Amino acid sequence: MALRSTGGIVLPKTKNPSKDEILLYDCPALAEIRLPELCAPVVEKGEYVRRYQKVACGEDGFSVYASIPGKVTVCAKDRIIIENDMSQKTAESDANKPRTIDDINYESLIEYSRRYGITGAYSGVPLYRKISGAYGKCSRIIINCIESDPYSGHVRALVCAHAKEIVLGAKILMIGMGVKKCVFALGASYSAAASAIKEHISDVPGMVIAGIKEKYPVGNEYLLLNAVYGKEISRSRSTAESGYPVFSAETVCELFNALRSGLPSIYKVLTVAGKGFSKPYAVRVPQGCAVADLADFIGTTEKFDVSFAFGGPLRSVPVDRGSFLERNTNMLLAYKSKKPSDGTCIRCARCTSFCPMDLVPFLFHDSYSVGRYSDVVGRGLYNCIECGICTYVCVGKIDLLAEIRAQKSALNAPEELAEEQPETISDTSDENAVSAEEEKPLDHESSAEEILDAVADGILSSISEDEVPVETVEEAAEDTVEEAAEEHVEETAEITALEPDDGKIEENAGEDIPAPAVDTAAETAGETDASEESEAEKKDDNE
Amino acid sequence: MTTNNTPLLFKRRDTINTVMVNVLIAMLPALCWSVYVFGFRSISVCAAATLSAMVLHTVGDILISRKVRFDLSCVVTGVLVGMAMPVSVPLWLPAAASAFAVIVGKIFFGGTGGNLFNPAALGICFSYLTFGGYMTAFTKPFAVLPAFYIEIPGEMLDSARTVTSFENLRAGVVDPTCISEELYGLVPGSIGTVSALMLFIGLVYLLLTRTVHFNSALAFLLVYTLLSLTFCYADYEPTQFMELQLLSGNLMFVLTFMLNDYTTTPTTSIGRLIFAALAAGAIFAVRAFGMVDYCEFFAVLVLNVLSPIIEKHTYPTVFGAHVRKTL
Repeated sequence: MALRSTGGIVLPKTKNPSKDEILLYDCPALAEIRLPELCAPVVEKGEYVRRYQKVACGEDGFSVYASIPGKVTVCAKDRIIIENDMSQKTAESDANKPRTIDDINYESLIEYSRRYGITGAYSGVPLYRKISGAYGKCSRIIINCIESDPYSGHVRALVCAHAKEIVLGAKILMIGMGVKKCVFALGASYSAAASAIKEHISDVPGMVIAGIKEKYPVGNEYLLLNAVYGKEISRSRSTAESGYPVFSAETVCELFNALRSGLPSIYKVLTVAGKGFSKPYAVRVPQGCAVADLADFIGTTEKFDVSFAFGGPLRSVPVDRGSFLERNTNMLLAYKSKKPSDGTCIRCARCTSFCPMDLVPFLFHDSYSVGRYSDVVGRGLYNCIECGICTYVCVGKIDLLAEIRAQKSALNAPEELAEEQPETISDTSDENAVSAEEEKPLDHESSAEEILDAVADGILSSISEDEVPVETVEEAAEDTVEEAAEEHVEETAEITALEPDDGKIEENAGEDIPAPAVDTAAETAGETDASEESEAEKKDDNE
Repeated sequence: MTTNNTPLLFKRRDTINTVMVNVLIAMLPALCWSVYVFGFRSISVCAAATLSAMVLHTVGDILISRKVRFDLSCVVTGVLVGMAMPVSVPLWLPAAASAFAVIVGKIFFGGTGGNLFNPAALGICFSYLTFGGYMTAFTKPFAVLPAFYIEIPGEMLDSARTVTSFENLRAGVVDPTCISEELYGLVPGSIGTVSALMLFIGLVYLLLTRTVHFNSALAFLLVYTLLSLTFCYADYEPTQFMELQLLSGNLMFVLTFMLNDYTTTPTTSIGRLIFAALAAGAIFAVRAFGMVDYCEFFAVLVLNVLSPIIEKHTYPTVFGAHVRKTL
């Protein structure tokens, strides 16, 4: 049985581009390069930049690059807009790129991920921050290949096409962070992606696949860790700081490609979907690509006025046609806008029973309607991960997610932001102690023959157990606590290891759900049945 | 600040009206059975109650919210009020009872979803307290009364009148021969509450459509069974006393349609279990020590008051057990 997270809902199956090729759209007319905090532009307005040319540099060394060649038309503190001249001029690749896998250690990994401008595909936060936050605290990394949003398929498409790069990128992270375990989290029915990964991880020790029960929104880090490890990571700190760094497949892939080629990360893979497009597509676009250009490339429908939104269909944020994709935009939706409904709460408590964060969303509705927003902070307003399940299941048609977002932004408008007191978490403290013992960076002297470029050029099969440094470390550092913790994953991962046979698993996906004892779970099981039945009719039912 | 900043781009499964339609479908078996047992007058009683509820709910809602919004919850209230009345009542009584239910029970509390008390239970209790004579005039099964008479003539009513077996039970007399009749509903009683079997079919339908929660229904039946087996006060076998307790009176009706009402019961799953157990205890106690007819509805009203308190103390602990105070 697949690993399950608490809460959440099984949504009806939708069309997705997971089996399609990833389209490449390389020539948007405009691109907006967003600059993270502490980053200042190093180019000026009117200057000509080539693709891969550095346009901004931060105090911390984090660099930002031009994703298209052309003239800088806007150069502000937080953004740079480039107008494409369609010349395909590129900057040269970095001469100081890592030559061999020996060049990878913690310091160099941080340095490279800063220099190549690699950001998290879901968070949009520079990757090096996550690495440095987790370094020394963790004993495993988790590669998130799950996409729980309906219509989303680009991650699966990416994993199928670039499994080798992802596995090697994960290996680089393992070496750089000094961990010896890597868990690939995949949905229980991602058979193609699983077999692609399996093909490449068989030679690398310490890598396992975990098959996760596909519920919305299990792609969230906290819920993913809940499914894999059965733990509820406290929301008082990030997952990386708690010892469970989660990296998305795309980030890992970008990391490897950047280190191999010496070219910075400037592309973003995303799904475009919705009624406004003929079908969902997975597309690779330059960072900050203009929405209008991408929409014209895909081709929107003529039947109605198309509106655009970022994010999954349950949690989307509307954007203008003239806006630009952001670093963490994983989905562009085109839809027919409609009037917002005026809802009534009848206290059916579906929002409560499905909420993955165990919140009571109708209380947020109460506080919103009377305008006393701060009352619900104690009920976990800031614990909300904005998945939008509450809005989806609400029989009263209340736009709960909008109300939660409105309250959050209203409360954050004044400056009186109290410093949050970090709590010590009992369930991870023992592991922190464990990893603190083995904090010294791993020794990679013995693997001089492992050349990164050679690996990239296809000598993947040469990675055998005795050549990989992490293996020796694993044997050396025997720790019972450690072993016990890892044993669990290994077991569950083996149990849920995926069969390569496509159809069989998908057919049986909904049937083998046992009757759970708890109320919430019972509800969810019912959802499955209902959604299985009505799958055919609901296929195209996005509004 | 706009509320339209998250378009839901995925088709919703249920709305209030689909929930209410499910409840109405669950009433159908019992309603059909009542036509078989009591004739078409049962339909007129329910129709009078429903019409009054619909009109007053719509008008009242427009007055308090200044906009037209109609939902089927008032139809459910109206039919429930009608179903809980004896077939012999004059037709103005169900209309008055559901008017009271809707206006006092719902509109005064702010319309659908705001009510503290179950409106139907409130309407029934109101009419029992004000017109107890009409409300306790139970007739024999198959004594078909004219469907369109506003008020049943006295002599016709007297010839059809009888006592319910539940009154015997109150006195501690168990007649084991009538257990199967209670199950099928071939006994004197209110329109929609005579047949435990038909109500149970409705309950199963609601459970299957996930409209109501399995746990609370099971908890109620379990606690009630245990209570009636333990504290059997009749002069017969405890098992037969238990069967009669479960099948007679308005118990199944209250369980199916009132203890699973969304608005007036706790919203948390633990809270629902506590509520169901308390309801079983309360109904058993009122039946044993209190009045005879409609005692279940009074127990429901008392428990409705407790519901917000139970709910407040059983909110779930947030995921990760850490409530964030800032973003």
